[in-house]
This record gives sequence, C-alpha cells and structure tokens, in this order.
Amino acid sequence: MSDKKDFFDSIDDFFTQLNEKEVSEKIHKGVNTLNKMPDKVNDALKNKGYDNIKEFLQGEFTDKKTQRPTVRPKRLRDFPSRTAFVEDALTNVQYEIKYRGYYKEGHQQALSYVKSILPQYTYDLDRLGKRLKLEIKEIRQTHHKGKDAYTNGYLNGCEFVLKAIHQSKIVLMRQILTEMNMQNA
Amino acid sequence: MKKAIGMICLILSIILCISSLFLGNTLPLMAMTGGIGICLLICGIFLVRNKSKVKIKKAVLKKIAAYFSESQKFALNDNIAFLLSKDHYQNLEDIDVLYKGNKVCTLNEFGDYYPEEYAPMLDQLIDSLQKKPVKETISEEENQDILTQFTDKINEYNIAIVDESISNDLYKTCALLKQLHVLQTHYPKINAKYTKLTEYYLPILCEILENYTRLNRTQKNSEELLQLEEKLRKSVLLINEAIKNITSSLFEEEKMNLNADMSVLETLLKKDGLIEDEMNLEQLNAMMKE
Repeated sequence: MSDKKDFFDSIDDFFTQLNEKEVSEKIHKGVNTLNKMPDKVNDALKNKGYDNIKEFLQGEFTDKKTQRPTVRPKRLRDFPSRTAFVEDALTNVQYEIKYRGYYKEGHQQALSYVKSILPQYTYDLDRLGKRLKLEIKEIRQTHHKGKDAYTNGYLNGCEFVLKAIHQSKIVLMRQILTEMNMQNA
Repeated sequence: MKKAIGMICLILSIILCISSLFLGNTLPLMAMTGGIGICLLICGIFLVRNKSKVKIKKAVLKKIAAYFSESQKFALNDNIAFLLSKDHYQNLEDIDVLYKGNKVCTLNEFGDYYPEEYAPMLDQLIDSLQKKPVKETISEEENQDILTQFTDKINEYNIAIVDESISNDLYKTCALLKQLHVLQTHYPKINAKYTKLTEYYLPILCEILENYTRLNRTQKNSEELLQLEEKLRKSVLLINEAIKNITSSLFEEEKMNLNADMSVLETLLKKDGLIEDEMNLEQLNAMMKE
C-alpha cells in the first residue's frame, strides 16, 4: 500500500512539476520551435536553391552538374528586331535544381523588371545594356561582403538579360547579312 | 581577360629574366629561368596585342564618306537602312544600321563580329549607293508624326504630375515641340541634332516621366521622391534649352545666307557710289526722316 502511495505520489509530483511555470514555458518554447521548424527547413532549402525536400534529395545525391539559366540560341527563326529576340529569351527560362528557391525568385524579379522597361528601349537596346551594367555594378558594390540567394538570383538575372541583348545584336547582324546576300544574288 | 593574363605574363617574364642575371654561379638554373622568362614574354606579347583589324579599301571608305557628307540616311531595301547618327560623318562608327526602323548596331561592328563578310558587305553597299544617287532623308511625314506622338505622351504624363513648376515646364516643352513641328514644314532640312532629339533625348525624358509618375503613385512625400523631383526639374529645363537650340539651328543656313546677302548689297551700293563709306546709324536715321 505504501509503495502504491509512493508511486502515485511520485506521479502527482511529476504533474505538479509539469504545471510549474518554468517547465510549462519550456514546453511551450519547444512546441513553438517544432512548429517553426518546417518554415526554417523550407527557408534553408530555398536558400540552397531547392523548392522542396524532394529536389534537395535529388540534388545532393546525384552526380549530374547543374548550371545557371542560359540564353537559349534560336537558330531556326528570324526576328523583326533585337527587342523581339530579347522578349523571346525572357520567356520560358528553365531553372535547374540548385537554381530554384530564392535564387529563382530573384532571377525572375530581374526578368520581369526588364520586361516592364523593355518597350522604352525598342529603338536602341544598347542603352538598356548600359543601364543594366550600372545596376550590376551598384549591386556588387552594395553587396561586396556577400550576397544572399535572392540577390544572387537578381544579379544573375541582369547578367542573363545582358547576354540576351548581346546575342540579339549578333543574330540580327546575321539576318542583315543574309538578306543582303540574297538581295545581291 | 586575355589582356590581363598577357600583362601578368609580361611582368613575370621581366622578373624571371632579371633574377636569372643574379644566378651567375649556377649556369643551368640561370638558363632555365631565362628561358621561362623569354617564353612568358612571347606569350604576354601575343595576348596583349590587339587583334588585327579588318582592312578596308580606302576607295570604299571615301565613297561612303562622300555619300554621308551630303545625305543622312540610305535605305537599302524595305527592311535595312543606314543612318548617320552624328552631325558630320567621320568614320564608320557614326553610321547606324537599322532593321525595320530599329537600330541593330553601328556599321563598323560588322567588322568586329563578322570580319570575313565585312569587306564584301561594304562593297555591296557601295554598289547600291552608286545605283541610288538620290539623297535620302527621313520623310517629313514620319518626322511630324514623331513630334506629335511625343507631345501627346508628355501631355499624358503631365496630367498626373502635381508639382506646379514641373508641370509648367512640361507645358513649355510641348509648346516648343509644337513650334518645332510648325517650323519643320518651312525648314524641312533635318540635321543630326534633330535626329538625336527624337531618338534619344525625348524617349529618355518620357522614360523619366513614367518612372516619376509610377513612384509618385506609390511613395508620396518620400525623400527619394523629392530628390527625383529636383532632378526632373533640371532635366526638363535642359530639354527645353536643347529644343530651343535645335529650333534655331534649323534656319542657321538661312540666317547666314541673309547676312551674306545684306553685306553684298551694302558693298554693291558703296561700289556704285550710291551711299557714303562708313555711314553710321545716326546718318541713316537722319536720311530716313528726310
């Protein structure tokens, strides 16, 4: 009987301890931390360039190297202007694993910003190129100590557009030369 | 990048060559160091030198210069045109190549990207220039449309601008553009300053106005906005000044001709003895009163 009493006493003591403020606070904290964990894990994944755990597992356990989004050359099509080429390059950009998450958000932010100001540079696209170079310089100077994934994505987005602008010049020059040769023939 | 590596090679080669001189006692080591230095020197020179430019015949350049000293634009066909981007032609860098009305590059850039096809391309251009000796300028209709478009655009942005001084300056801009539009009908000669106005300055002003109105909607009374307003005020004043200068440059030639004609008339009258030499203004006024 006394042993049973001791056992129940110890259980009562245990629950009394649990009900104490300090302990209940610690339990609350633990539960909150557990609740925030999925967000923190998600945040960490996005910073690494993944959208979810599945992509993380795919990325970390494969040998296949991934690369940043690149301007895909469109050799089988004529463009009416350099702006049309750049607009085409800005649509359907592919993001490989390790270049998603916050990096992708920053990259797409840069592309949508350029899309909104592109109509103003229809006549002379090189002016847009100069503007982007200044912006890239500014970002590098502001973030010379280190860039987060979003900023890195934004910076790469601006560089992506610069490459598209450069390629547009080469493609249109080729078109002009072809047309001149056809005219001559 | 190539030039940077080339410079590093040159510097290393100098250091190695000098240090090899101090290794007098150990002949093989001296020879090896000197040899490496000379190799680095050759690599550095090779990397640093400019890539050979495409050679263009002088006759070709002369013909292009002759054409663009008189004309501003040449349309090869419906899609391709060549436009002089500055007041006077100096070199191929001053000629913009347009495709369907939009600039692609300057003419000399074809030499940088397609060096093998550059010379034949210029020969073809010369042939076409010789076939079409008629001077080509931007059509009046195109011109007038552009000015009207810009005036309408600026008026649209002005509606959204609250600041009175900026608004008044923009009204002035529209008035100056309308004046320019009217004068164009009497003095249709288009110069490079005018082309720059319609193709660079006015589009940039419209871009600034668009950004300002967008920012004004979202960030009212912010410090950034106040700074932007100050810059916008200055930009509009500068554009107004530029338009005034361009307007007066339209009839510069006529002004010069008029001055010359008046001087010739005075000389003839003096020569015929119909007026006294060095007649001053007071004497002239006295004669007129009589």
